Amino acid sequence: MRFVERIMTALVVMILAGLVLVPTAQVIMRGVFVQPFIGAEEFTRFLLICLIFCAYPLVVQKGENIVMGEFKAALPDRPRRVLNVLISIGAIAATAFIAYVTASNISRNLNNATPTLGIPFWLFLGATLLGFAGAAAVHLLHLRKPPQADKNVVL
Amino acid sequence: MGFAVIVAFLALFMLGFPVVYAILLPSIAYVVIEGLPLGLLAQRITYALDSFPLVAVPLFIFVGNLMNLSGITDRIFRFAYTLVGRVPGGLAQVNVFGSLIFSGMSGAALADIGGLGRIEIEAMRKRGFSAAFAGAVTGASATIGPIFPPSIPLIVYGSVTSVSIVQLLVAGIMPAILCTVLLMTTVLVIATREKHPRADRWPTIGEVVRDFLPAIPAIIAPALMIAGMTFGAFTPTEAAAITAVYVVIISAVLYRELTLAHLWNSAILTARSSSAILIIVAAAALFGWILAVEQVPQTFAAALLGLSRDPIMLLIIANLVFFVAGMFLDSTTATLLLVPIIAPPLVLAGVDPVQLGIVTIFNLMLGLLTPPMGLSLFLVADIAKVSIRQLLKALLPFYIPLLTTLMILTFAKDFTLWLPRMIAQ
Repeated sequence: MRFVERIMTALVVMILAGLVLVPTAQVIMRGVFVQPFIGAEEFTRFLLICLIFCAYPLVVQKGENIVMGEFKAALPDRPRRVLNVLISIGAIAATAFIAYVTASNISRNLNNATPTLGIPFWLFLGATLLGFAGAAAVHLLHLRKPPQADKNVVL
Repeated sequence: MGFAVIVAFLALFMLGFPVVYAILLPSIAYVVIEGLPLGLLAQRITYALDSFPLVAVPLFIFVGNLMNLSGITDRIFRFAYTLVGRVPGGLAQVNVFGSLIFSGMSGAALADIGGLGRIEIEAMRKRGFSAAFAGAVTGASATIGPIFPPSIPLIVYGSVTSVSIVQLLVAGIMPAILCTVLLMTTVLVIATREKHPRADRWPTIGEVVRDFLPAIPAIIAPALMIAGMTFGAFTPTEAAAITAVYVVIISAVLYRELTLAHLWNSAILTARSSSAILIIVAAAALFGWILAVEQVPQTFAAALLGLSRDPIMLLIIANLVFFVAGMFLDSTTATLLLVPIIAPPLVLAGVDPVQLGIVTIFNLMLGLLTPPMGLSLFLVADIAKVSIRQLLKALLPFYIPLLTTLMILTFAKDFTLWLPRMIAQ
């Protein structure tokens, strides 16, 4: 688990580095060399999609989803624990379902690609699949004791 | 069916489901029950993030994290305290002024309170301020950053409504300065009346210069961003990327405080914060599409325009709606779910979309600070270790400058719009 977390962390750090460097390079190309950086915007948008979905299992792992937990916190212990389990089940259902439909969507569109850079569709939607499948796995591992359980808003 | 989806979202949200699942679960149920193609789910969610302006969100967060972790924030604060520490309210004035500069970078009032606010409250307590007053100043001043560039709520608003993000960011400058001045005046009055602690003496010229020189490169960072965008040198996204590179260079080369560990930790924090915010944008795209299919915005628009077609009256109604929404929802969720429904009829009736953006975000920030469910309120009370009652008592005088600012934003349209108009010329 820790090994996978490290790999995912390294991956999102690299993506973020790309997210900083590509628009910077675009400004330098335009301002200094008066040359267009073809495909820079498309690649940056692709990196954003990768960053948000690949980092999502880490958000779940640290219990950092945005939550309004005031009503739940006011509940007695037993109903609150039942509610926590229901939230975990709901989270697993939602993330696993999105991962499943993304996988079927990819399998039906293997030959498609983005217009300018030709990024394959499976790679474009692959981040969504990885993010939601990873989040489902983390939710499943936490199940009854999610780190989010007793938190309120986290940002 | 659209009504059922909205009710289900609200129920799950209030029960304590993470916002992203409170949105996704009813949306998935709708798509399945209505027999719509399931592939739609993945595509709507993924393509919601296929947006160049939204790239600015992680980049601004990264700049904020880097500035906090590499000591740049400390330098600006030290300089600000040397400069205004002797003014009645001392550190409280620095707290308000600091929010103008920094909270826009963290992108959200809640993040500002949870990050910088924690440090500010602790510093104020150490200098003899009451915990409730320290919390009240922090909470009230956290409303400024989200309307001052760089502002993540305004970027999200712009991406939802297709209003120029540069215009929105520039339009936020005057209202944020006005709110800062009014809040600092309020602190001045309270501090003078209640004899709050302040620096023992005014600084000497030497002391001001000593703290100003190392702060210059740090102060240039937000200035670089604002100037670059307003003069059209780069887009908000490019401005954020350039500023990130600039902050890395000055922290590593000039201040020599940026270590690889700082850089790594800033990047990880940024990735997680951005994901927590933007995953809601992705889910809300699906929700918004369902509402559009069910013609909820059209129904709402007809009802609203049936009430009145007067722009001022409609703005007052929008004020109430967003203020109440802010009491319950965080700004990103409220913007994503409500703005696509409320903004079109108002714009149709003649309300300026840029003015509406500033009014919307400021209202949402005020709502966060208002009982019964204001999320900022709970967060500040938790950090300052005071009861909600104590905090509210200390906050009461600060509602005067905040509501005054809101009234000016609502009724004096030209005050908000003269700067973007001037730059457009």
